[in-house]
Amino acid sequence: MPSPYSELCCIDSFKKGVGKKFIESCETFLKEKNFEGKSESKELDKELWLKSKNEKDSIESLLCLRCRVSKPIQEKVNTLFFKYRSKYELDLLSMMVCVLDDSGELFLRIPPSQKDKTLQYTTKPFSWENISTMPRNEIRPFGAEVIFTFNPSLSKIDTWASHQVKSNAELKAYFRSYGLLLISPWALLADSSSFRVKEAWLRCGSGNLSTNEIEALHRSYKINYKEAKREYKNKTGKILGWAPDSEFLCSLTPPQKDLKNLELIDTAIRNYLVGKNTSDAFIEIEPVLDRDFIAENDRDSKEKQLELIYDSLRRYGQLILEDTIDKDRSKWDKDPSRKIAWELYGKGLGQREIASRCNHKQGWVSKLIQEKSLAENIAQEATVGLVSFKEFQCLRKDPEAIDRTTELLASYLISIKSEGDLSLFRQIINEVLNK
Amino acid sequence: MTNNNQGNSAMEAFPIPEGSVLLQANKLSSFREFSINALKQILRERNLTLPLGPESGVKESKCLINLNRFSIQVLTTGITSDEISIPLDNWYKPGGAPQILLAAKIDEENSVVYFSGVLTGPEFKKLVKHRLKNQKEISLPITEFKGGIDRLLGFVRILESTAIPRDSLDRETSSPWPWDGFSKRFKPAFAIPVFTAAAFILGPSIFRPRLVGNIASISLSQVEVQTYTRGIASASPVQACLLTPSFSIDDSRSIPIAETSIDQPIIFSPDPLNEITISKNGKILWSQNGTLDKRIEGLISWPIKPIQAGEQYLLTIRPKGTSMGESANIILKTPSEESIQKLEDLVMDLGDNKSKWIKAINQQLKKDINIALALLFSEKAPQSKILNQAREKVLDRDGCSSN
Repeated sequence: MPSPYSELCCIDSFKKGVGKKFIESCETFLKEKNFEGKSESKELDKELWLKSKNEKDSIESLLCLRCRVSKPIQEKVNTLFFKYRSKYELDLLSMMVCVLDDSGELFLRIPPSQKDKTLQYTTKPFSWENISTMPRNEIRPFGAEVIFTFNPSLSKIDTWASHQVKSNAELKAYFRSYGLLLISPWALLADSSSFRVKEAWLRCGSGNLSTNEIEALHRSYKINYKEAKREYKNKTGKILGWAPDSEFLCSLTPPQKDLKNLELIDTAIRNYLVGKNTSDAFIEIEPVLDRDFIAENDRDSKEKQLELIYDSLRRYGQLILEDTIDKDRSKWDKDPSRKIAWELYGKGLGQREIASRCNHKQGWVSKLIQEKSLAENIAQEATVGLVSFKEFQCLRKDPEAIDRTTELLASYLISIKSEGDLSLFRQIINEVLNK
Repeated sequence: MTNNNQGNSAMEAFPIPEGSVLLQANKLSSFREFSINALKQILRERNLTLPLGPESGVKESKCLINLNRFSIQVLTTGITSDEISIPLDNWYKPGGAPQILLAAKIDEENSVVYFSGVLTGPEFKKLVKHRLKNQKEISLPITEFKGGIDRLLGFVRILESTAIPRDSLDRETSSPWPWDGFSKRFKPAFAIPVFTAAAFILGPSIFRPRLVGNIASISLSQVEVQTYTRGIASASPVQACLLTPSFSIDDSRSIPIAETSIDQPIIFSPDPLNEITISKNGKILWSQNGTLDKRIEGLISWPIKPIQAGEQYLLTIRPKGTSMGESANIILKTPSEESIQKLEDLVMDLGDNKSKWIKAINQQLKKDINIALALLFSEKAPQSKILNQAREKVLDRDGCSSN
C-alpha cells in the first residue's frame, strides 16, 4: 500500500474527478531516509517539514509533504460538499479545482515581478527556497501554501489544512456565489460573544479546560485579535490569511503553546450554531394577527383609505416585480428553467415543488424568487406612496405605525383568502409574465 | 461540559442572509467603510437620491452620519457575531444623541455586508435603561436590531425629522431619564386610522385566527401494537397513536420512523398509556410506568438531554388496554445532520412577542408539526388567549382508542 507521503490526491481531468497519483521519487526518498512503510504521523510530518525548510534546495521532502496534505485537503472539500449539496447546487469538481491543484510538478512557475520588464514566467525547482521568494498570495499550488504557512509546533497538519481550505480565496468566492460564507476559525472566535462561547462550551465543548478558563482565554483572544489583525493588514496589505502565531499565542491569558484550545472553542461554537441559522424561517411573514389587536380597530369606515392601500400595493407591486422579472428575463434563453420557475410560482406552487419540476435544489428557487424581501420592499414603497395622501399623513410622526403598516401590507401581499386562491403577489407576477 | 465529539455536524459554512449587499471592492477597507459603501450601493440600486453625509463620516468611526436629515449611528460587527458594541460618546452630548442606530454585520474576507436592522433612539434607551454605569460603550444582542435596511429607509423617507427625538443619556445610572415623559409623547397615537383601514381591508383574509383551526387539522400518527403474547384469536389489533412526534410508516420497514428537526420534541399520545420508554442502542435511557389507578396522560416534555444531529432513539409506547409484551416501537431520528434546531434558540429568537409566536407556530404547523407543538407548549411562550385555546385543542384531541 502506498505511503500517504508518496500518493498525491489530484484532479484527474479524464475522469473529471479526483484521482490518486503515485510519486515514485517520493517513495525512493522515503526508502533512502528509512521512512518507508511509515504511516502518517505528527512526528514524520514535522521531520519532513524541517527537512524541507532547512535543506532549502531539496525538493523531495517537500514533495512528500505535498502528497501528505493533498488528502486532508480533499477530505475537507468532500465534507463541505456533502454537508451543503442538498440545499445548494455545489459542484464537487469545481470546488476541488480551487484547492486541489497540485499535480506533483517538480518545477515552480514564478510569475514576473513588477520590476521585470520581460513579463515572462520563470521556472525554478519546487523547493522551499524558491517558494519563499514568492509573494504569499501567489504561492501555487495550494498545498504548497498550506505547508509553507504550517507550523508543526502549533497545530497538526490535517487541522491546519482544514483551516486553510476554509480561508482559501477561490473557494470562498465559489461559496459566496452560491450564497454561503466560509468563515475562518479566527474570524469566528473574534465575532463570538462571551455568552455564545460559554453556552457553546457548556453544551458542545470537549477538552480539559473549565468554562471559566475558556471564557478568560476567549476574552484575551478578542482583545489581542483586533490589534494583531490591524498590524497584519498594514504589513501585508491583505485581509485574508491571518492566523495566530507563537507570539500571539503567548500574549493570551493564559498563554498558549499551540492552537489546540482555540481550535476546540471554534469546534464547540460551530457545533452550537448548527440549527441556529435555520431559524430565519420564522422571519417569514405569516398572515396572523391576534384578536386583541383587531378589537382595537373600528371596522366601520375609511373606504377611501382602503382603496388607497390596495391601489398603492398594486402599483408598487407591478413596478417592482416588473423590474425584477425584466432583469431576470435576460437569463431565460440560457436557462429556461428560470422562466418556468416564475410561471410555476405564479400558479401557486411551493418552493419544493418548483425545485423538483425545474430539476434544481430548493436553494436555487429561494435565490431566484425572493418572496419575502420583494414583498417587504413592495410594502415599504407602498407605505411611502401612501404618505403623500392626507389620510396617511399621520404616519410621518410615528415610527411604530410605519413598522406595523409595512408589516401588514407585506402580510397581505402574500396571504390568501382560502385554499386554492392566489395571493396578490402571485397575481401580479402572473400579470407581469403575461404582458 | 459534555464530552461528545460532534465534528461531523459542525457549522462549516454560513448562509448569506437574504438582503445582504455583496460588494465588489476587494481593497483594504475598515468595517465602517464597508458599511457606508454598502449603504450607498443600496441607495443607488433603489434609485433613492437621499442626501448622505458628511464625507468624513465614511472613515471616522465615531462620527454620526446624516441620511435625509436623520442623525444615524452606524454600528459594525462581524458577520457571524451575536452581539454588537455601541460607543456611547455621542449619547452623553445634550441634544446630540443619534436618532437611529443602524447595525451592520460585515464579512470583510468575502466583502459581504448585512444590515441587521435599526433601533430608534428611544428604543435603545429603553433597552439600556438599567445597565448604565457611566461606561464608554455598551453591548447589545444583535437580534435587538429589527427590520433590516428597509426599516431605516422607511423611517428616513417617511418620518418627519423631529419624529424621533435626540434625547441624550444621563451618565449616572440612578438618575432618572426623561424616558417616562418621552414615552408618553412617543405612543403611537397617530397609528389608529392607518390600522383601522388596514385591518378592515385586510381583515377578512388576514386577521382570521387560524391557529386553532390548523391545530385541529393535525392528523394522528397510528401504528399497530405488536403482540407477542396474545393468541391468534385475539380481538382486532390495538392501535397506538401519537400527535407528536409524528411518524410515517414505510411498508419496507417494520418500525415506523419519526423524524424530528427539533432537539427537544414533546411526546403526546391522546390515549392514556401504560408505559413509555426511550432507549438508545438497546439501552433504556428513560421510562415511565402508569398504574391501574393512574395512567400516563397528557404531554411529556422531552425528558432526556437534547437530541443531537445524527442521533437515533427508540420510542416504545404501551397504550392502555395492552398487556406486558405488547407495545409499539417508533424510531425517533433527525432528518439530516444539518437541520436539527435547538428549541432554546427558537424560543430566544421569538422573545416575548405574542404575534411572532403565533406566526411561528402557525408556519411550523405547515412545515414541521413537532417544532410547532414544542413551541406551543414551551414554558417560555408568552401569555396569549389564542395560544391557550390552541393548547386546549391539542389536549382535547381524541385518540385512536375512541375510533
